Amino acid sequence: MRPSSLVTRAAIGAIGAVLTLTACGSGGGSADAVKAGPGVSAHTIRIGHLTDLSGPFGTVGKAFLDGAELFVKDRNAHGGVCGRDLELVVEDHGYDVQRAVTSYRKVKNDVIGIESILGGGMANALLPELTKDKQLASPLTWTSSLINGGNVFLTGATYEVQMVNAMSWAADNRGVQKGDTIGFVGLSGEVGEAVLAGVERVAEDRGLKVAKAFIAPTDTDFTGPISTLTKAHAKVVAVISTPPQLATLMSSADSASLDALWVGASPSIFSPSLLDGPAKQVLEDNLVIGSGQAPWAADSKAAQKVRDLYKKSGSKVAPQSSIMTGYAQAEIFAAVLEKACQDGDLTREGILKTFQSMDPVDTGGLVSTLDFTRGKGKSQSLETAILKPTSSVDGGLQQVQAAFTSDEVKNGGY
Amino acid sequence: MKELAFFLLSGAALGGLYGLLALGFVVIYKATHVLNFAHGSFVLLGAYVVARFSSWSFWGALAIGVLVTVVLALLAERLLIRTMAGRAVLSVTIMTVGLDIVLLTAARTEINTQLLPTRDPWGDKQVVLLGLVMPQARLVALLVSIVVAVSFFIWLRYSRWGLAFRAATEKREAAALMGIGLGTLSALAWAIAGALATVSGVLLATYPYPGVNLDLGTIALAALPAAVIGGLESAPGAIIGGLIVGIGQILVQGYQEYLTWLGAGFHEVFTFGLMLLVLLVRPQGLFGQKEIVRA
Amino acid sequence: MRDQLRLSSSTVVPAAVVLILVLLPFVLDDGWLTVSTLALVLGIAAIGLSLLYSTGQLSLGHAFFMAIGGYSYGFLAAPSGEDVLGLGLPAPVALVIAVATAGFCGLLFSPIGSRLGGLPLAVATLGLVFLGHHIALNAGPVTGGARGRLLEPIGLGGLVLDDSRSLWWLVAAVTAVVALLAHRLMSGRVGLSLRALHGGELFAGTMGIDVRRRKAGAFVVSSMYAGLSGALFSVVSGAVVPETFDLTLSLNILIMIVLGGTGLVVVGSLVGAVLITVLPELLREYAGLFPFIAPDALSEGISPSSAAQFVYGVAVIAILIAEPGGLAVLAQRAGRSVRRRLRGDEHDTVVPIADHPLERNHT
Repeated sequence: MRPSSLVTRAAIGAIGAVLTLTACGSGGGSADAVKAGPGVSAHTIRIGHLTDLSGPFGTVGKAFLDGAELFVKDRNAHGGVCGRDLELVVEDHGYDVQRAVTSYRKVKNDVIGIESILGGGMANALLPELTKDKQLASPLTWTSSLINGGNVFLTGATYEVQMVNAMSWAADNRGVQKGDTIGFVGLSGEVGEAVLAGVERVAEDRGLKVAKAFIAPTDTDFTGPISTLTKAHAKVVAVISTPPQLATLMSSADSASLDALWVGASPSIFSPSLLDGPAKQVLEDNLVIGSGQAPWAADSKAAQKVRDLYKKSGSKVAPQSSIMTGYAQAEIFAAVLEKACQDGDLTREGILKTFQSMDPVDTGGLVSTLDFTRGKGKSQSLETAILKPTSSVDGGLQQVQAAFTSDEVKNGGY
Repeated sequence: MKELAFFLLSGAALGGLYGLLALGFVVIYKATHVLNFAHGSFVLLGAYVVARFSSWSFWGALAIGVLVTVVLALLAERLLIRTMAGRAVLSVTIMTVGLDIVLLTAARTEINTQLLPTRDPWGDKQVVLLGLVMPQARLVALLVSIVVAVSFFIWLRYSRWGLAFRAATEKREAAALMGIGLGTLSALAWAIAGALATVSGVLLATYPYPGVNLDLGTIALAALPAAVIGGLESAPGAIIGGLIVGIGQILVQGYQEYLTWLGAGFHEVFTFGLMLLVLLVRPQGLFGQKEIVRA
Repeated sequence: MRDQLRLSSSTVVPAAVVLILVLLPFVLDDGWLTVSTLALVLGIAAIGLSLLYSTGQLSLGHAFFMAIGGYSYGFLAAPSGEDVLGLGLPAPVALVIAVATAGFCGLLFSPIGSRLGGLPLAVATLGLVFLGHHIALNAGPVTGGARGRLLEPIGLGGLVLDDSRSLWWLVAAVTAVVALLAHRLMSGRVGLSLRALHGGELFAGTMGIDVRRRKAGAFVVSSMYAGLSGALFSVVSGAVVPETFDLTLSLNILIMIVLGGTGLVVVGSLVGAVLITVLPELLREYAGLFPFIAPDALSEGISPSSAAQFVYGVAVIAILIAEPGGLAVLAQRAGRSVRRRLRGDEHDTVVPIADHPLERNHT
């Protein structure tokens, strides 16, 4: 063995690596003299998209990605952002924290920001590093702990705000009086806790009691929770679960003759295919969903545009609101980039500076209007719309109440 | 009081389902000392096949489903398990993990977001038992598991093949010396487990559950504690372990408002905690046989 | 003369390894360097599990002890924050205490290891993973609950280790140390008695080996390795969240030691760890190049990640069928035949430990 050859090879490798890194990082001088950071060249702007395409959330991950790609293709066809083409750098972490960390590190020097991160655990684990790297990032988990006031935006109100709005609406809808009981059935974890917090807030404000039951992801039998709710005569029940569990819960409730309005915490608990099964009637009659994201069948110009683009693209992904959300998320991200371009600074620092003082972004109703200046831990939207399942439209959901902000939220310090 | 009775009855029905799933693990373990981690994907695939054909005829579809999983199980046994004869059971067990990954990936590509109702004859009908209202399908699940358990027990005790099965599993070397085909035994065990998988899967997907979907592939593991509590080599133990786990889980989940100090979602850990407790007192499980090591 | 010029493999191999460890950061980019770092971190856990398995005890609860290590380190090293408590101790101190805590938990659990055998123990330890997850979610002030905890970068005497390179060198150094430790353990008297255990507990007992103590000791050491791995994992990720320490992690480490080869505790574990960590990444990266695989997740046909997972499952099956001793044995056999051809003699061959003879697949 000749040690020197190994060292020589390593040295050449090192020099090569250094040269490549400098080339990537320079951003290339562009004619319009916009300062540029990593991932921004004269012709393209690369943004990261960390998602689950093959794991437990693979199907919804594909929907979000589809929406983002619809936006990017369309935007590029109309001049792109800052005169450059947007490019999504997609990484599939399969809902594994280790892979998420690795995926991020793989792309981080290659992109100017992370346009989407799917997975609460992943977002939590990556947040410190994203902040250190000054990446603008948008997680697809609506928990207030992620809003650090600096480099994160969520595509809608936090779970807690959504639930306060939705439960308040539902309580009015069902004529809930002081002393009545409202319920909560949900998966334990960060999202479940946030949803419960919203429920307890409404209960506190209105003098109601709360009957709560936690469930686990592998549960198929809900005799216990249903019994708890029936005993307490809960009139309105907040729920966060997987779609099959939602159907099981509501069918069991029906069997037990529980007369309650079920309030879903997010469109993710619902799947249009549930309307093909035995729970169709009970879902259509007794479920509403509080959502900051437009359903597929939304009656707005923006939603129609997405539907047209979707049809033209011949996409095989099933129509659902997540496509709308994915589209809107990319749209908002691009809006920030475009404004930063106007401010002359497309470096990471420049983008964040623009972001932190930007005017509210409007997506034409695809997601709630977002205000990024509210500060750390403060929900970036205070609005919620109410959706109802129906088999008569694509995507299975339609809006029955336009976006509103309840009094509890207005006075709640959110 | 009525609530408690209802919990017990529902728990028994759930326990019956767990028992059937646990039996699938136990049959293979008893014959080969291998833990078949791919059982969950068999459950999913069997139920999926049934759901696909159920619009033609439920019972016909059930037969097809059972046939498919039995054939799949036999293929797995012959192509994969048999070629690892003489190897450590840990290696074979890990191989079943690999098999599970392969099958689940294929299932994910095929099933995707689909939710297929089983179109079983019990539908969403309710039944009144001792003044308690229960979905008919759940009651059927309980009855089926009892029938299967009893049949298996009788078969083991009194039929020729059952006797061979018992002999071979309890005294492996002696059985081999006596010419009982250990290979056939293994194939038989896998075939039985395959059939059980489809039946379990279909029953899991009945009302109030909405139908066959990807989630079914990962539920089977929740039945492992039941198998261990009953004793991994005991068929009646699997059913009884299942009943204990099912009833216990429903009780804990039902009374969780009194148990908040144990933390949210305790009922999921409860089954494993119970399993650990049983193992501390009786390492071989409630009905397992103590391993006698002769010098 | 020939003897002086000929370098024996006992100097060439370690030297090459050291060189690779030192120079790797200059060859790989951040992403692949992180993959490699995590491969070593999990390799430490794999060594621990392999040590345990060599005493005939099988644990599916390794992720639990990793969680103990990770969360303990988080609690000890990070300062108190909004909703969490922390001691803010210096990193090396926190690391040592975290490892000791994991070992202590291993000690508490070891009686169960002695009472149960084989697969029943495996299922029992499975329960630990779920127990750990439950505790992590509910012990908010210590674990950060569902959100987890953030960690500050390690500071060692003025140097802050927060970039991929320094983390790699830190992990590589620690791995080398604990690997050597394990190697010495296995080749010394302890290793001999462990191997005797492998040949049958009754047999070992008649040789005067205190079976219970050895098995308990193995459980403690194995838990310490797991704890160290968990703590380092948190350091490399910068955060500790409950989703990390799940059943899949335990299964992956088990797959690592079986694929790598349980007979060679150190080499087998590390080979397995590198394979299981790096192979899926490679597959995902380049699967799209195959003609029948769809170019991305949304197109018709099999997506690259599904194909990657499929191949991964098939690889696990194939390797186990082809060589029960694992890849390390495969590589050894190949290396031996190469060396034999080059030199015509047989230096430095290690004979792998046979699988447990009492537990065989009797089909």
